[in-house]
Amino acid sequence: MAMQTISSRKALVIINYSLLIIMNGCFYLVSGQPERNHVVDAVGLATLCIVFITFFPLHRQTGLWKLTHASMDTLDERELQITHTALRYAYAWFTIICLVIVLAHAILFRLVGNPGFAITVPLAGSLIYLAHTLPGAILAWTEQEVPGKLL
Amino acid sequence: MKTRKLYNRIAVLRRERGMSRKELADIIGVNVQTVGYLEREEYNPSLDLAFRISETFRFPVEFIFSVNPMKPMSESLRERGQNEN
Repeated sequence: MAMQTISSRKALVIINYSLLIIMNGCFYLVSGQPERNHVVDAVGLATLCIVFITFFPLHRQTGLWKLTHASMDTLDERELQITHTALRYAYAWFTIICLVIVLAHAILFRLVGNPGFAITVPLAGSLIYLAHTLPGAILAWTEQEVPGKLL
Repeated sequence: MKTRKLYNRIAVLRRERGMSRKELADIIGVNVQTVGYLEREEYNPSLDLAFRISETFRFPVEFIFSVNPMKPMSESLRERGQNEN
């Protein structure tokens, strides 16, 4: 029930995406290193676990995952409207995030030559995760009420 | 385009008929949360939904929805009666 309040949902969105950034940072630090730092690796894996743990109360228990992935026929006009708005904002944010990653990579390439960094599996996975969860996160951030178990 | 806020009498009419939000939601074909949003005047319904609500309560659309804050129902009915006489 605690997940139904907007402040708790906002806190979960911040925790979820902050940990996703930390996880990518950790895996980026160890990627391309001949002697992998196991501590950083462990932190990366631990943050990945917490990302998945926070995913369930934020997206599954609130019903936001179902709302943003439901067939159009199963939603009423208000749900269609909020989902459409969330998808529009998510598309804009996702484009900006991808652009920032590409620019950061280009700047890094220019500063240090070949940084030994490519699109790693954790980064690709994070972008897919982000594409799927961003509309729900936007609804969790903006909507006073969430569907919960209704859908 | 910025839409105007629509005021309505859905909550009063629903309670008057002893209906739950779920029952009304099932009749008009929306999610129960949408009824809550409509009653709190936080969501403007489409023309189709407004007509479905008006058919459910058997009142004209302009009696249930207004762009101005709604008068008490007794006052509106008295005014309608006076106009008809």
